[in-house]
Amino acid sequence: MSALRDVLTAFEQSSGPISLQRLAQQLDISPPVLEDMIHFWVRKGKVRETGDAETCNTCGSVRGCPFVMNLPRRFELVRDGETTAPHCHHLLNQG
Amino acid sequence: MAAVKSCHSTGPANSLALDFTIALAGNPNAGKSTIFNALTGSHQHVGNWPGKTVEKKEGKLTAGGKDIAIVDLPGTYSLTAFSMEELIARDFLIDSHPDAVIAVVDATNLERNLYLVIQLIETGLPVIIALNMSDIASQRGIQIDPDQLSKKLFNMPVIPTVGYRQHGLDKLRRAIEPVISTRTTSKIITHFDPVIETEIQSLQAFIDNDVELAGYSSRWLAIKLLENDETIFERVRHNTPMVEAARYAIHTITETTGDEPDTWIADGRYGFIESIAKDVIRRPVDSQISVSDRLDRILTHRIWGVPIFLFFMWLVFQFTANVSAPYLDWIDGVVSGPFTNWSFSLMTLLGLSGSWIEALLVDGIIAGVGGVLVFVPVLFSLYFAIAIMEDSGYMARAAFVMDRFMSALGLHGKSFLPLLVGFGCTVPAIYATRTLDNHTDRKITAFLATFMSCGARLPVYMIFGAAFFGSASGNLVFAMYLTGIGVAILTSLVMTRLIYRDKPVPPFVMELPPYRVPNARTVAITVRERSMAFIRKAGTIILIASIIIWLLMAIPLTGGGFNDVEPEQSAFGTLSKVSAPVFAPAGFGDWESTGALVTGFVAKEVIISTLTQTYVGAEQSTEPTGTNVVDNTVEIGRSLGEATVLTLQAVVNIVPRTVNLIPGVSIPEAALVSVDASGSDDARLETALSRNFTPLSALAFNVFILLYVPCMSATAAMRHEFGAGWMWKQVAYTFAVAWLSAVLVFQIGGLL
Repeated sequence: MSALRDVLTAFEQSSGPISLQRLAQQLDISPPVLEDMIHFWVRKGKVRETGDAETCNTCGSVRGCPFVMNLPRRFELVRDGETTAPHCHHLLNQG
Repeated sequence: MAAVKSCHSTGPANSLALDFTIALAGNPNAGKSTIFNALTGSHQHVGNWPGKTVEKKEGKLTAGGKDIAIVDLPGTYSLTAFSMEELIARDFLIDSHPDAVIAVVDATNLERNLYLVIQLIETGLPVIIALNMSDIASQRGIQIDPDQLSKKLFNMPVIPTVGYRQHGLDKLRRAIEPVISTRTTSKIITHFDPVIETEIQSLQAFIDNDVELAGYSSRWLAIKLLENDETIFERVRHNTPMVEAARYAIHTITETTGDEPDTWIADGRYGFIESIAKDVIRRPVDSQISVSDRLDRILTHRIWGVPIFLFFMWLVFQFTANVSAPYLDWIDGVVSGPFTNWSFSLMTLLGLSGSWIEALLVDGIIAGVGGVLVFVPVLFSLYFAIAIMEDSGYMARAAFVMDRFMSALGLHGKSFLPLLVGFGCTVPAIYATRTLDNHTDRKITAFLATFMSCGARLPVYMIFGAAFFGSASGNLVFAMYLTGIGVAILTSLVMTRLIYRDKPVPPFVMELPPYRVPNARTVAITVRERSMAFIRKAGTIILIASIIIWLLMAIPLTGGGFNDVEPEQSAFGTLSKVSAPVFAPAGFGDWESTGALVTGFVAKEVIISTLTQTYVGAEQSTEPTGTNVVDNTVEIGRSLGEATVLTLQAVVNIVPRTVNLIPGVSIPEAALVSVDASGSDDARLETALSRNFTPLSALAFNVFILLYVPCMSATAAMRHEFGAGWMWKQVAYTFAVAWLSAVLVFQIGGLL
């Protein structure tokens, strides 16, 4: 097992936040390929994707809360004992 | 036994009834549509894929004397079964059996695109590769050897193309004819790990002996079974021994290696891509470092990242405080001048002059709502600055830098993005914690979000800043925001070290969007929507609160009559006095400021309404100063022009103020015009504040407002998300922290 496993290992061994671009440089792979690899692990339930802020309707804004920022995607390791549903949101939006 | 769906096409695989069909496949944004249009010209037919809402385009191409239908498949990154587009593309390839596939590949991003190409070749169909966007790849210094790529892909034709310039398309057309005539395919494309290859061969033996599966590539089908693809298992369920063998193989591989077969297979493909890329792609070293990367080396620097973020914040609040001030004064002048005068005239016209209705309108509604609405330019400036940071891509870096900083302190450093939302409004910040999967992380982050200074608190800082700090009011605003972040970090420290100490901080990877010049339309929409939310609030919650406060101030409790009572003896004054001693150690133990803190629970802007009604109303009742419509209108226009000049002056002065931060440097600021706004409500409020507060008690008051219980909407959101228990903890904690901090500021400040 090589590159794909390296990505998961990098998640496990990281001591703090790291940008996707920086991790791609560390692993010597292109950022888009790294993104695909991360999504593979997301589908496998080893990594979860977060970042789409849910809105609230308390201020009555028809078009949704204007204060919600367009948050960048974030990927984090699923810890032992945690469960996560396979996350296909991103892939479903890619088509 | 159910019959498997036939994979033999019974006629042409196109609706144009042509003898030959070529599928056009590729990643999204690889230029597939451009190639399709260039190949088919005007001979196109657009419909939908059967039973789907996804558009299906077909066109006619004549090549080598043959009429060929080109079917444009949906853009996909792979041929797994995770999206409708992937399923459509895959089903067409394996059921309709096109005569060949043209894989449109983005040459600037070859590695990623090759993952799909490999899967296309695995289907057993002849594949022609259109190496598109090869001009852009060249411009970026990326050199791809098409001949070497062809060799690596078992002599599949590789044709460099530039779709939008129609370059390479004749060569592509010429490549089609021999491929569809001979149906040249590759039997094996990727050699997987032996543990997988052994099982592939075992399953191929089953497939080769099953006549119902004769139309499939046995290797492709075996790979799909090992990938545990349920849609493929459904297709082969008639062959029970093979299904059982496949399930057993999956189980065995997983048990013996610790990884499921699909992981081994994906890894094999990536390994193959890596081996191709090494021999085929050449990149100059410096081209691998984009402008975004270069900027990130500075802006997300491990040491300088946080100071740079703080500098940008300082700049934002300098901009907010100084650039908005002239328009703030202008609106204030219009509201307390002509608008109030016109209201008096209207009341006189209706025969209500001197009535309590006039007092409610002028001293309650106009003073309360108008007193808040004058801050629209301030909020507009803040939202403009934040929108620029968001749309340029910097805000994501700010969150990343702060998360890393918090993580380095051993804190829950993966929550700063929801906290940044709190700079706008605490309510969505609390709901934004839903992006965190772990419930404890959510609770902590929501707790911290209440310390992020929301837009509603900004008018309070501004009015106190103007009253006590003059042109340095931007520094007060910056200090308040910074204090909020500091208290959030300290709170996180307490929670992480004392309450949730066994909980490790999980690392994460964040996608940083590329930097870009902010889009004017996006920024305009964002600023408009956020400013409108503020204005809507003024027309609803603040309006109601202003009326209630006026009523409470008009109702006598210890003497006087309705609307004829000393403010101190009114219901509002009497009730406020009860809690006033609590705040005496913090330096603001008068009933006016205490009452404002209570009403501030409704919405933080109401603090301004209350202070205006209590301080300004107590000092001087608003009286008409003239009702000449023409004079008033001329004055509004004149003061607007003056405000615009002053705004330009303030924009220009950001430069010397920034440069003057350097020790020993002192550049004079521009001073084109000066105005006297002393007659306005806000100016009168500033004067009243300067009489009733000292700079130290004003600072303590602002610190309290920053940190104390957020508004009722935010408190309700906290209860909704985390229950009443957590809400009460947050209410108690924020009040205690706010009181303690305000007392410390006042008492320690008094000793200095």
